[in-house]
Amino acid sequence: MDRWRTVSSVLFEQYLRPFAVVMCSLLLAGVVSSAFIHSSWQQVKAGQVELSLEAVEDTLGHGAVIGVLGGFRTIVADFLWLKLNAAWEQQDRVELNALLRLITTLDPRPEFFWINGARMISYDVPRWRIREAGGYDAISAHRERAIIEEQAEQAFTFLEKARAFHPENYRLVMEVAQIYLNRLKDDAKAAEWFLKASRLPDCPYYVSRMYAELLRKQGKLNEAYTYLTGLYQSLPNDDPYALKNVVLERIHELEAELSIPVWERFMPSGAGIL
Amino acid sequence: MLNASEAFVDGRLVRYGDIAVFALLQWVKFGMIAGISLLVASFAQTNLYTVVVSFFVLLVCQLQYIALEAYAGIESAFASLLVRGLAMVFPNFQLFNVGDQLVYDVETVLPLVTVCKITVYGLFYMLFFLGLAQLNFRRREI
Repeated sequence: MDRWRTVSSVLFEQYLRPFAVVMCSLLLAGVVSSAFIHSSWQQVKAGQVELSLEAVEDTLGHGAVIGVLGGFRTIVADFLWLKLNAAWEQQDRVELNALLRLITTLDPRPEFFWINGARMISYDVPRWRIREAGGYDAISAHRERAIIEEQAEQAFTFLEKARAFHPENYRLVMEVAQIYLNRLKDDAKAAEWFLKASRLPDCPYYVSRMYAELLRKQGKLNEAYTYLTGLYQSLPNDDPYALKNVVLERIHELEAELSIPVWERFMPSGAGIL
Repeated sequence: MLNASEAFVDGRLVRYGDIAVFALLQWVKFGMIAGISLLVASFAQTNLYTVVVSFFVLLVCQLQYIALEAYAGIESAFASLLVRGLAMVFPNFQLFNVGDQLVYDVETVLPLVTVCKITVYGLFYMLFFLGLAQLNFRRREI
């Protein structure tokens, strides 16, 4: 009994008490310091890209943990982008996908990563996959189309993730439209996305004209005419990039195609009747 | 490919003066890590134990804010209190990861007061850990 008492006393004196003292001191220090640093932490946190546990897990698998822990995630992301270019040159799509995910997790701010990543996924990877399958001559048109659609879908998911970080960025929306237009040859969907892009801030004027042209291409002449007349009225007079004269020309072309009587034709405000 | 100058049109200008400030903050952080290592060493029996435990404490300190946020919506009052208590025990190293904000991001420049506060926070913990380590070493003969 005495021996047990001695052992427990030694355990308490040597381990438990110092541990309890340290923990209590740390807790006290934490309470004091967190109150002191709270506002500064909010400022630091507001300026940092959010990092989830999932993102940390991703980085752990790729040796970029130093970047996450060290704080220079931007630099690590930039270096990984260089590494990604090497994977792209070697046409290593598995590495490419993994690195794209990692880079955009570490630093989702530059649209450069998202747009170029989406282009790699949708334009380059299908070619690699077709080549892996034996080349364009070896696979059926159906299979080729399936690969292109699969990769385009991946690019759309990637760009959707991008839009969560840049909801007002017209370039990302336009990229979706371009993939529909150039890769999937889906004019209807492309037009839908060009229209979405045109409604975002700072979107160039030509996006609206592209939308109208796609409507024309689909044979939706009335819709294109209505859109262009509305567009013409909304364009500024003093901005040469608005190209109001080009829009007016297209309106007149559509009027001719639609055989609209002269007296019902669009008359821009400010122009007198001869 | 998208032109890099277009992508970074808003500027990613390096402010070299702030690199020095960031370096100072890193030294303060290293001081805290050194303090933690000494505190662990004051308990430890082997060198390896000190290195491993110090590294894990470093990880916990670095990532504690994520855990705290992840458990912010926890329903159980006891579990919430426990997590908060644990978060209080470990200093927040993420505070020192302001390299991007100091050196690059011109839109959200960190105020000098914030940098000073982070430095004071680090110095406080550095001295605190060193004090605790010293206290423990005094009680140790072997």
